Amino acid sequence: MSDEPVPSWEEVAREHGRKIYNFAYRLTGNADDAHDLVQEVLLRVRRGLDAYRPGSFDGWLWRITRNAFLDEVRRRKRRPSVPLPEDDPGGVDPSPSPHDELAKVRLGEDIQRALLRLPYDFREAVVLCDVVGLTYEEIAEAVGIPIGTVRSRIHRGRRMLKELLT
Amino acid sequence: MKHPGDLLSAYVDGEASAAERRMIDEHIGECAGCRDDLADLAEVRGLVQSLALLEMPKTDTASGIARRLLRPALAWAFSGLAVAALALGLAFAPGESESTFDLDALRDQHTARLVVDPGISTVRGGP
Repeated sequence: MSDEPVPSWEEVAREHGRKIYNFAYRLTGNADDAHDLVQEVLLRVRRGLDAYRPGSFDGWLWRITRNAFLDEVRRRKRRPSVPLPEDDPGGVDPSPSPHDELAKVRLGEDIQRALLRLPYDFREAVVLCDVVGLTYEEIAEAVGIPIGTVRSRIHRGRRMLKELLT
Repeated sequence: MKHPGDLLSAYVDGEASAAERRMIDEHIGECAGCRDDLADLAEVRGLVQSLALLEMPKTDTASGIARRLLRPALAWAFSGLAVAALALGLAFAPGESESTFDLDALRDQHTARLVVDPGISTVRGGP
């Protein structure tokens, strides 16, 4: 785990906002939910930066991101009129485009739908690894699980995805 | 013959140790099942990684964050002075932003927040 300088809040927003958005979008399939999560995470980062001590910044940031995401899911469970991530596969009709682009969009949608069918723990591990690009150690710190569990979740998640996409 | 199991995913992610990599290299030379598993895992990994990194939608993130920041500050707004300070502070903030992260707008709106809640520390890293 390396010691990294503490970034400013603006640097966090600029450098990590898009990845936080993609993390939330790939977990929910919903652009509005993902956008709300980015705002919430940046607020929590803003409040927490003063107390942050140099260490694994990514581990710290993604722990905040994950906690904000789960808080939001729990909040919505108390208000069941709002669809939960699992209830909202969020497929979008592809707009007209050349054949290869269309095929790419459809493949992307198939992958997104398959991701949404994974149990949350496996989906989260795969998204943190393959979409966000965290190391196993960073995922373990963010999620609060041993590295062996990270490895197992990623492996099982990928095997489930393979079944779903075949 | 012991199959590597979830070590195969660690292998494709570059997360296996040197000893584990050697063991897997030897194993897949002899085990067609694990060789196929490894190919499947690498394919799925590539598919998920190929998902486009989406841009944030062109909505006003800055205003959204400022609204959330200002929400607790409403408790301070019982005095006319606080309300006036808030109005003045917001008057300096730009209007609707089209950019994904309009940091100037965010900084200005944080400044508005500081006017009504001096307990919040100054924004770091500003010009």
